[in-house]
Amino acid sequence: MAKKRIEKKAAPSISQLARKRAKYSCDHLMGREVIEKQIAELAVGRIAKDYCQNWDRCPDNDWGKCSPDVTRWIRKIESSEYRKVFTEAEIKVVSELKSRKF
Amino acid sequence: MRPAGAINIIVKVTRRCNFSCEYCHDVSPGIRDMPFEVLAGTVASVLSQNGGKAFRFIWHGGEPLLMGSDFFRKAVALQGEFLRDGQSVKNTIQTNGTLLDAGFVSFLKRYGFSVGVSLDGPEDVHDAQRSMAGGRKSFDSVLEGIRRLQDDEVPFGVLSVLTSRTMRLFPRDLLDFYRFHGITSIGFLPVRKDCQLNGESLPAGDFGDYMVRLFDEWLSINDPGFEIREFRDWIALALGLPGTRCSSAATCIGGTYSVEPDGSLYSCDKFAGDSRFLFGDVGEIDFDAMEEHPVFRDLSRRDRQLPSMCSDCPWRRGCGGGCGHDRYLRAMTGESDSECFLRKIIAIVRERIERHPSAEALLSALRQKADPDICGV
Repeated sequence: MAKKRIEKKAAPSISQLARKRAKYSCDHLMGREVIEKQIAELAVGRIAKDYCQNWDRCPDNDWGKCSPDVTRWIRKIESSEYRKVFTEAEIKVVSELKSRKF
Repeated sequence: MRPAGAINIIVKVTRRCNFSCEYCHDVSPGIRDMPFEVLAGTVASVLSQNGGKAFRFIWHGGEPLLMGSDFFRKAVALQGEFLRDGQSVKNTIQTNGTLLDAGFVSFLKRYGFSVGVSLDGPEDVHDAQRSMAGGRKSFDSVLEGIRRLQDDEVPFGVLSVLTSRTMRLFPRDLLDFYRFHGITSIGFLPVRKDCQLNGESLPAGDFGDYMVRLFDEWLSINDPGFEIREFRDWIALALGLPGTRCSSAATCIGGTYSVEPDGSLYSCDKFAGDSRFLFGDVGEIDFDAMEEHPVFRDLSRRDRQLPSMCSDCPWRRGCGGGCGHDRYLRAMTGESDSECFLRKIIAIVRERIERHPSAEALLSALRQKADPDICGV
């Protein structure tokens, strides 16, 4: 049997790495809102057909390193939404409670 | 001792209501809507417990949906802010169903709420008992809310208050009514007096007899997917298994708390408004030291004091003497040692299910039940 020739791949260029990073970045690929919605649906057992397959591989979606832990993701998503629902005065109340030792 | 299961927090977010039910005595003076500071303090304080791992927030009222979906969005946000590693939270909301519009249903679905809707049976019974403020009929509006939950596949159950009016219905007609509307999870709650003995209550024997007739009809329907929480509890008790309701699943004292809109913390919402059972302000309570609290000790002591009629009861171990608040009321009215309808019922249930063709399915349904049922939800 003839041996398959293995070609040595050249190291990726910086621009290739940048493109790859962009491809797997949630913000770039589908938009953060879409990803958030999809993960929220995943939490209730619904996976859309157009579900982003990259969310658990995304190297950096600006929330830090991606995790395949759905629960953690959901909490993260929710906490990103918190700021949208609290008023400035309420954020202050939350901060004070957090600094308090129960 | 702290119960092993989830800790249930009944949060009375408002005392306002768009209904004027004839049997309602659930009113209290003081703050009517829960301010954000109290909501945040409640969530932060409850989730600060080192011992608790699983929490169930039961959003209650008044009519909680009057607070608007933003209130509950904030509640969920607060849970996320204060949740610790290893803790989990579930949310349940008890509503009269008339404010379940598309937006609210979508919110409840997104955040995984389960819903309890109050529906007292067929239109004539329901409307006679549960009119809206101003006397308007509510039945159609409630059913519309239920349809929305069904269409969006939001998990829900129905809570039905049994009164002397309801008990004039043939039990089979009552069950068929729910089945006709695709309602497959029901809790029956006897109308009861409050701590000051105000309001209507059913004679225990009448309620027990009617429930046995309902149980027989339910067995003849032979559909374990059609769940009635009281029957699930009774079957468990009759089989010597732990009960599935708050009173019989040993989740009462220390496993269930109730918070008023002003932050007053009680053991259970049945005790709300009675200062003898007030723990204090929820934001100031150290839940980890709760067992040392004088009110907690008093409740625990009362809970252990069973009436003498329990002494030779074969079901005592599972039942635990039933609801502590019910016993407390019976003691106030001098009915402590009257006949126990539950004892009779469990014996009947044991006999009925012994050779029932669906016994295995009934047992299987029991095993799937994770959280105990709280009686007012």
